[in-house]
Amino acid sequence: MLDAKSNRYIAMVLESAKRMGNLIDDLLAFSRIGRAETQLKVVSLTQRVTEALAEVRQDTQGRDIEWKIGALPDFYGDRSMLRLVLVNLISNAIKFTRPRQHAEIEIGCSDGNKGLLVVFVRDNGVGFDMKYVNKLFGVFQRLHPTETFESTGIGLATVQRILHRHGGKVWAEGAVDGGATFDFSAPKPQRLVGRL
Amino acid sequence: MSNLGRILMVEDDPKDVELTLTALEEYNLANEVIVARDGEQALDYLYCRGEYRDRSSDNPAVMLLDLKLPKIDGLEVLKQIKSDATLSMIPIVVLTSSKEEKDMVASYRLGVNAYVVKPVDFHEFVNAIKELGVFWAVINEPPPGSVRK
Repeated sequence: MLDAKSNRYIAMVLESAKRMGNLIDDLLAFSRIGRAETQLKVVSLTQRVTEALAEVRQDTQGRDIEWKIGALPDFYGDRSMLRLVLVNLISNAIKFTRPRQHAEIEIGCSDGNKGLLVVFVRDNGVGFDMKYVNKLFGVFQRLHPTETFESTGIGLATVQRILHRHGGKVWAEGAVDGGATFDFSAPKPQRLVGRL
Repeated sequence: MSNLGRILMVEDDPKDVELTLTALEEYNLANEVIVARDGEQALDYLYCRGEYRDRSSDNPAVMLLDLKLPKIDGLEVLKQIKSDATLSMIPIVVLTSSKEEKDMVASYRLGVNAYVVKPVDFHEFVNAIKELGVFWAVINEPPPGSVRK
């Protein structure tokens, strides 16, 4: 029989090992983005959203989430990388709306003229202070203590790296307790097909 | 050990907080520890603002500062403190898992008083924290304006 203190230490060891596992997985995914060949083709974002939602479904159990998914354009890009962008942004939206009894998550396309496609993921979650917006996309950057919102601080860095590889970008807007919107853009397919 | 200095610990990892407090408890140093979970909270404490609006304005006898912190990181916190005449005398010990020379040099350049790499081994970690606690909260004479009781 172990005493309470020993049990506590064992629990800590287990949690830490699990965290280390997550960290290694996330770092591997992040480093792979830098090295992997991108397979560029016309990709349906609607299908990628469906795949992403299937992947994060287990995190939505017991939650009341209202999804609003608008018409999404086709992107010219790498299918699995674009899926990863959506998985990251959608699972963040699910995570940071956790304190909301009724969460609203909207995915849509806003008009980004000048040959750009702009897609957004918006939530009514805890948001963030715009003063720290530049930190969001840095590796290991987090704005919340791990016990409130678990994270390795690598997801948004991965998202940014993927969009840079696509000649696009990602940016965010939010307010403390006022939700967050993540937009990402990439050049419209027709402008690229001839070039790549 | 009658005179204990107040320790401000700035650490976002709950497990490191717990282990540090456990180590300090053995010498009864844990009661005087204030924990800030990110750089913003640490600065709020030192400037008596936000949730710390009503605290008495004494400075801690030592600050244990992690480098990788949410919101405002450790180096930025260090920079702000060392460039403010009312706070610059507070002894600051960087306590980090970073062995990177870049971080160490940047810390010393900003005027850190000590730089300690957290030992990975449990017993070494506990011993290092105990020694740090005893030195900074008991043996060292803190600058005027620090809490000591």
